[in-house]
Amino acid sequence: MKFKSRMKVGSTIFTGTMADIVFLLLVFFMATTLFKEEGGLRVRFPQAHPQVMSELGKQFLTVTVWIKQSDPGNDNSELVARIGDYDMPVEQVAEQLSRLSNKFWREQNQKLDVVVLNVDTRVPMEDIVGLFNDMRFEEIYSIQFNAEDLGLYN
Amino acid sequence: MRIRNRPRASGAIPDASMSDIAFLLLLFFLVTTTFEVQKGISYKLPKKPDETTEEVVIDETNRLVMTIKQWGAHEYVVLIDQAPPDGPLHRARAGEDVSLQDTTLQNGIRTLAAERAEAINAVQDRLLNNLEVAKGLPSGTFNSLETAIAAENLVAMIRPGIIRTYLGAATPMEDSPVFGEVAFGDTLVLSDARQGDIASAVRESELVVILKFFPDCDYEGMVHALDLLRMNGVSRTGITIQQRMGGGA
Repeated sequence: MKFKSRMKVGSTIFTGTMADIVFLLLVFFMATTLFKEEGGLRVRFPQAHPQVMSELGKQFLTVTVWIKQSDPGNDNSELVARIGDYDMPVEQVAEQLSRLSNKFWREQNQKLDVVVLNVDTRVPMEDIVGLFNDMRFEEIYSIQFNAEDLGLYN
Repeated sequence: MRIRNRPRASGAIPDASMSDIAFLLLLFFLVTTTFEVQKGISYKLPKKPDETTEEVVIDETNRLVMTIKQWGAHEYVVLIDQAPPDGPLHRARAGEDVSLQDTTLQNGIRTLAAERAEAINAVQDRLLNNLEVAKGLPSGTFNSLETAIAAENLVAMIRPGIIRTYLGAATPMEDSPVFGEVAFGDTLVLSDARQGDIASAVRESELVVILKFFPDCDYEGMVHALDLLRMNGVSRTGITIQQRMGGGA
């Protein structure tokens, strides 16, 4: 009498579809990756030592403000500011920040944590102190002055 | 006689190495992709004055007032208006402009800051307050830092500051029952296994530096000045404008 051999269970993992999976992943990331252009103004950042700089984690709700002179280096030229995709005179920045802060509170029940300032190095301090006073008036107190790394050994 | 078959040219493109190429590409992008993080100097503006605001007078022994003006591109000079009496910057620099990068100025600021390092109890109180805020608990929930650490199962640790490297053995140290020896400029951190770092507080200096900028001094000067002060252990700063001479607002 002939006995049927039992079916054997193979111990190898089937890898035939591995290449397909990798291709799928590759195509997925290639299709979904966005190279987002920075929506801000072209500014020259000041430099600071990395030891004293802090980075904001994702848990912080931030708004980034860009400020530069319309004619960089000319102290008599107007200051332009940008928040998101909107340009405005620098005098309106504090009011706009206050509106955004209220909107975050209304819609997301979250407070605006930090205002990130990306300011061109050539902007006069007179205007910056004016902005600080306007922000205080709107009760926005926490700021981060963005800067470039000066390097560890400077 | 046996006739050999001629080798036939195959029309298929070899695709055996395709998966290797895909892996290589995937690895390349995984390794080279960087997510840019913007870094900067954090700053808190003073609260706006209203009926509830108390006027705080900074004692002259803890107050340093400096006027900063621009001296060409990327060059800034400092004039010491007021300095704590008997300190390194008192009188020695009166009426004299010095560069913001001047080492004597920087050493003087660092010495003043170190001499006024906060008491460890004040730092721990601030840390406890930060913890309560982070946890969303009302102020005064915990009697002490030790109670909070035990109740919340936290780990207390010290992150050494840069002042240690500048002052070396001269760095003011104070003993804490929770953290051990805490140097001026160190950061006290509380963390737990789930969330990581929850609350932190730096052992700061009580020295307050008021920076008065000439109106046409540029923004770069302010960031340089703040950078210099932070590097030398000063975190309490005020920023204002030197009023123009000859009237005006």
